[in-house]
Amino acid sequence: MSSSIASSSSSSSSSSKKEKKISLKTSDGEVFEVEEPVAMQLEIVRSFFADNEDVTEQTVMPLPNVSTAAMHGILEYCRAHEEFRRRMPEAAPEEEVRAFEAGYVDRKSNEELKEMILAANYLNISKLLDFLTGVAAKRIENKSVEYVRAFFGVENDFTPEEEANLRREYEWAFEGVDED
Amino acid sequence: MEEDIESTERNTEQLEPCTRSYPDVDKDQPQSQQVDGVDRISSLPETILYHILSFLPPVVIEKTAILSRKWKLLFNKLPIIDIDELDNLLKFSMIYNEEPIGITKCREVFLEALRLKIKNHDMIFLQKLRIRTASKRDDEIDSVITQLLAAALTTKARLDLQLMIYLFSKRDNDSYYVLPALLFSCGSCLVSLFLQGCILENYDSIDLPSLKRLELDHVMFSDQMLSKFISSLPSIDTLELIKCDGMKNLMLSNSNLKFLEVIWCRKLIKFEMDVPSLQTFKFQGIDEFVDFNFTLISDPEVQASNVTSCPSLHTIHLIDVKFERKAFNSMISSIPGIENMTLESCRFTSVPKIESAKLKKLEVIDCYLKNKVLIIAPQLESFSMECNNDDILRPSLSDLQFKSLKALSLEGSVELTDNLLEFMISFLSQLETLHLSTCTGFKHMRIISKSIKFLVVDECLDVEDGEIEAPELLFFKYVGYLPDFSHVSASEQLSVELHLLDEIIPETHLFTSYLERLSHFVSKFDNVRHVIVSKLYQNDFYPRNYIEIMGENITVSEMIYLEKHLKLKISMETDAVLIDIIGAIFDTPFCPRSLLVDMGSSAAKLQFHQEDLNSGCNADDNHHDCLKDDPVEVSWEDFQASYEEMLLLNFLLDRMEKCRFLHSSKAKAVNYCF
Repeated sequence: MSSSIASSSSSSSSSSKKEKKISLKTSDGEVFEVEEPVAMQLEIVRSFFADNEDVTEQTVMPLPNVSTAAMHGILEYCRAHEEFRRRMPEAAPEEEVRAFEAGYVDRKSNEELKEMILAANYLNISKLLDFLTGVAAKRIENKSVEYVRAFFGVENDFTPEEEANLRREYEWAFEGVDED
Repeated sequence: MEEDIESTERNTEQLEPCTRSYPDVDKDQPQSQQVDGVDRISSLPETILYHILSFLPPVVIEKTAILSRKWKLLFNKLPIIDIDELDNLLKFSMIYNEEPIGITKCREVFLEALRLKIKNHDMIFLQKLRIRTASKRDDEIDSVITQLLAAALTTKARLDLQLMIYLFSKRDNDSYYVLPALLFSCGSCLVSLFLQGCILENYDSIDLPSLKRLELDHVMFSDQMLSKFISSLPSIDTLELIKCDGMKNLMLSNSNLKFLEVIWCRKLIKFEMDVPSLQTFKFQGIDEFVDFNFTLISDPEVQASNVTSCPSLHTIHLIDVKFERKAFNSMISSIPGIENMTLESCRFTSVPKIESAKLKKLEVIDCYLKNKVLIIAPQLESFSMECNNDDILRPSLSDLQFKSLKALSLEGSVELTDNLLEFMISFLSQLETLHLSTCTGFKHMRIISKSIKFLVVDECLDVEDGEIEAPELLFFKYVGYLPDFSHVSASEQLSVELHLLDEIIPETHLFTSYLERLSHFVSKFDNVRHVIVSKLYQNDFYPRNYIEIMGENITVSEMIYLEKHLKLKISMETDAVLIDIIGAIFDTPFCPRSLLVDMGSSAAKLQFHQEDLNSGCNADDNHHDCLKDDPVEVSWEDFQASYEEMLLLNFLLDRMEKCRFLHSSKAKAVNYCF
């Protein structure tokens, strides 16, 4: 539940301020108005506005590789972090950040997680990418081959004999696997 | 989040023409839109897969080879090889409870993993190779490691090599792995090298033109070998020598070296350097203080003219060094370019004189000073002193008259008087950061400064009252007993953290007055941006319970304590975050048995009370977790089932067993509840 606290507090305080907004359009055509310091966490947006002198406040930046759903998740994270940063410019309140991140990611399914990894990669938000890939790693650690295949959406193209051979070769790696 | 969604929907309508202007975009729908049954390996790029895998222990990475043909290929092209026998050992000791089988099996697996890599891995992309052993080294392990090194050093990328050999006995030379000569003649691929438990022998040819970083930890070498080795590395900029016990004389000569660390090299007695590019030097002596003939240049007494042998040196960090007589003063005069200096647990047999024209930052931590310290540094911007040991003589603070000082930090029973503090603050007209930690002797904290921005007063337990007049103040942290502040005036952007130490309050009426004092104290910070109030229990460093009061939205106007029933009246200017307040109340250190929250006109009255009023919850107990542990019931008047209220309800149901609604007409809410 701590995450909903963080997200609601960040949205309420950000909406109470008049600040410069940046418009971002997702792949399905939805336009997000994002506070400038939050949008600037998206490296692709930052460099777009830094490199193009003719862009104005009215420019709507298209982000064809980001879905609306992923964008919601990404903005939630970036807004919360902007809020932490604004409150504590010297050092982020670590306990709070950890509590937020844990709650934030608990609610995401594997599919949502992957979608957000792709979006974070495309938008070039290294902090979020590190965090999400770390979470993905945790989710496949100690899981069965079948689970990891499903996680990555990998089709098993080994013949049964080949797979049996491989399993024998890496036998020791398959001991002590958690339940899926 | 709801507001964001609404606002974006609204904007979509307004910006409709714009969305039409990129018609191609929708055709390029990424595969991320397809949610199930897709081979995501094509959508998750290889770099991301590497990224994910880099978080996993090697054993799990191994496993991915079995996913599919493509993954098997991928696996054998990974830019990182990390084979760690210790990790395996930990894992196997969990699986096989009987330890001996674990160790044997572990060694087998480790060797097998190394052999598989030698056989299958495509080293062209290799960027990092890390090997750590955990069993006693023998010829078999040696030969496999050497083979893998030989294979890895054919990489076309820039290689970071970390080789950690388990030392069965530090004294026994047989425990060390003898590094093969090929490692030192491999050419330009090696950029970073970390070695542990190895022996450097006398190698004929050393060809490592790209090596930038070298760390040697528990590595054996002869003085001549190291000297020769370092001088034949043209690109090295960082050298760390950690616990290299074989070294007696360190003679360094290199024109590129910028960072040097020498940590705990026990036998080291002499030190000579000719490193013109050196910028940062860190040295740690051994645990016990011994006379250590420390000379940065061969001998400052003799070679007084040769003062510029380290002209670029600007940062020096010395730990556990004992300076004989004038050795320290000579050292300082031999490094005129010094800007940052840290002296930690150093001993001086005579008065150290820190005289430097360029010195900007000085830290003195737990140093044994005979009488006092003479500091002549007109450019000094930051000074910090820490004295954690009672034996240490503290220098007189009235000597610290540096007009240019921007940061001052004093820690550890430093004696201050009210007058001295006031004098210091008025004298230091550039001071921006003041950090006082466990300082004693001042009762009245009078901070009147036009320049100060960051103020930390940490466990200065003599403080009784104070006032702040600092228009630039952005951050104020106070840890200690509840003080009385007569006046606070600071920047509107001020962020305040008040961590109050537990005070013994025996009587109920005293506790009431404590709350009144607290309320009074907090009200001094009414107009600031953010306030956090927390209660610290002694011997407990981290705040466990806190009342968080958001400066912009809420002011606590009244706090009344009556027979363990707390009434909190909160007036809300804007759309306040109910959950924040209620959440904070649950964590309140006062632990009321019943709690009435009156949120004025904007929301309903909430009343909490514990079902069992006799459940051993009295003021003397360590009662901070009481509300969380015991079943609690909430009654809620006039529930409207608005979005905010539903969020709050959800939050409450997580923590409580029952929720009773009074005068609530919304059947929806009741359904939600059960």
